[in-house]
Amino acid sequence: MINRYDRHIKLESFGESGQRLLKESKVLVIGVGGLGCAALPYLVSSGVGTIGLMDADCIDKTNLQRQVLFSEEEIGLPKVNCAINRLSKLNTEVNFIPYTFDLIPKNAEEIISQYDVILDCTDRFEARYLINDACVRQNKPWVFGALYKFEGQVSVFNHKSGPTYRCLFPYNAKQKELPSCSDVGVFAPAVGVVGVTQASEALKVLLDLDQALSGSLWCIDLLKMNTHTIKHTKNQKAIDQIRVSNHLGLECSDYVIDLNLEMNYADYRWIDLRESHETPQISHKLVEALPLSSIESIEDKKVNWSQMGKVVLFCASGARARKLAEELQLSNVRFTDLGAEQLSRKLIKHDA
Amino acid sequence: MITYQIKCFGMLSEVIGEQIYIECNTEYSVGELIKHLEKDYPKLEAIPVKVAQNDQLLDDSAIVISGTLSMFPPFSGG
Repeated sequence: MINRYDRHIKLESFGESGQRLLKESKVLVIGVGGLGCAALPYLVSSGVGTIGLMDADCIDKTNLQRQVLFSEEEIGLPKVNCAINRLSKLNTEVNFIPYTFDLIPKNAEEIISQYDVILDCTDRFEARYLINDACVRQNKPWVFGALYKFEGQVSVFNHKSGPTYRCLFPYNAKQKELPSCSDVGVFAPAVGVVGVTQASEALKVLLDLDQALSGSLWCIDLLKMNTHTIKHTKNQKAIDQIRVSNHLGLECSDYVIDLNLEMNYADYRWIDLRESHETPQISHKLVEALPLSSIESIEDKKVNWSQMGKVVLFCASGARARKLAEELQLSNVRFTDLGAEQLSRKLIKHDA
Repeated sequence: MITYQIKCFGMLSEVIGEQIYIECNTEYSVGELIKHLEKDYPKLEAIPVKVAQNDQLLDDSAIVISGTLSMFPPFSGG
């Protein structure tokens, strides 16, 4: 009988031993959006033995333009479950592990430690610094992919003592202000090219093939059809700092809340700390407005925080919410780093 | 006279243009070059910028030699 992996086995650099190695390998795909949907089918069809899929989101109508694993009738359903339904039909030999919650500092190292290679298919800087830091501490290679409109960037970090994400892009507060795909749009085939390239790099890392993009940032522009590769070097000081730090990523706080699919949003009071002139205005039954300027100090008796029940603070970017939650140091008061706009979408999805 | 041919990527191509030429009397460091560009393109101040020459990323303190260079920000979309 012909082996389903015959065309890979025939490649000298694969062979039967390479294919066996893939079967024994574990890959974690963080983010089952555009990049994840492009990378996953090739990891699955190539016979990676165990694949973890992580995403707390449900499918939205605007996802369908580029998130090609999902169908119209699945709008509103959890991405991870729908992706596994689809992918398990491609290859019944793969063991899928679902994570229907986000990576947070508290769970990052424990989950990442169980995998051989991590794919960053997220769309936020915060997630990338967290993946980087957890991978450095757990000594795991990870494949970065990101987009801007028609352009993409791919690199492999922390592979065989190579450079890390922080070596190439040290954290810069300006990054918080850069627009996202939902702000500026993104060309669907560019997402596909970057995601498939990430899958390719992951397979190369697993099989120890030459020329993985460690120490190189591959850049592609689908509009002009230009590619170029930029070599970058390691910053040992930045890596050492990650290893000794008590904090992971940018989100590290004892008071951040993990907004996962299992939680009941109605169990919380959602406090909007933004001022009344800030947009978008959110009128949702669970949201209460409490402009930060109206609270004189945390000793202010006007707000009896400890008697409020379970509270989640939010603002435009999470910065004010984080500051207040960390000052209050109460077990019932948490904050989210999601901005008001993103949170509002989550609340609406949760209602549906 | 030093001439820099700067190719811009990502949102930098919208802020500065896809390609610009700069002439100056002495070679700039990466940091000085970015400061110089920020005067003409104030929006640049809000964007983290990386500079590469001959396909090699340069440190902020590195001197940019006369010729072609590329400038890009980190992308975040996915």
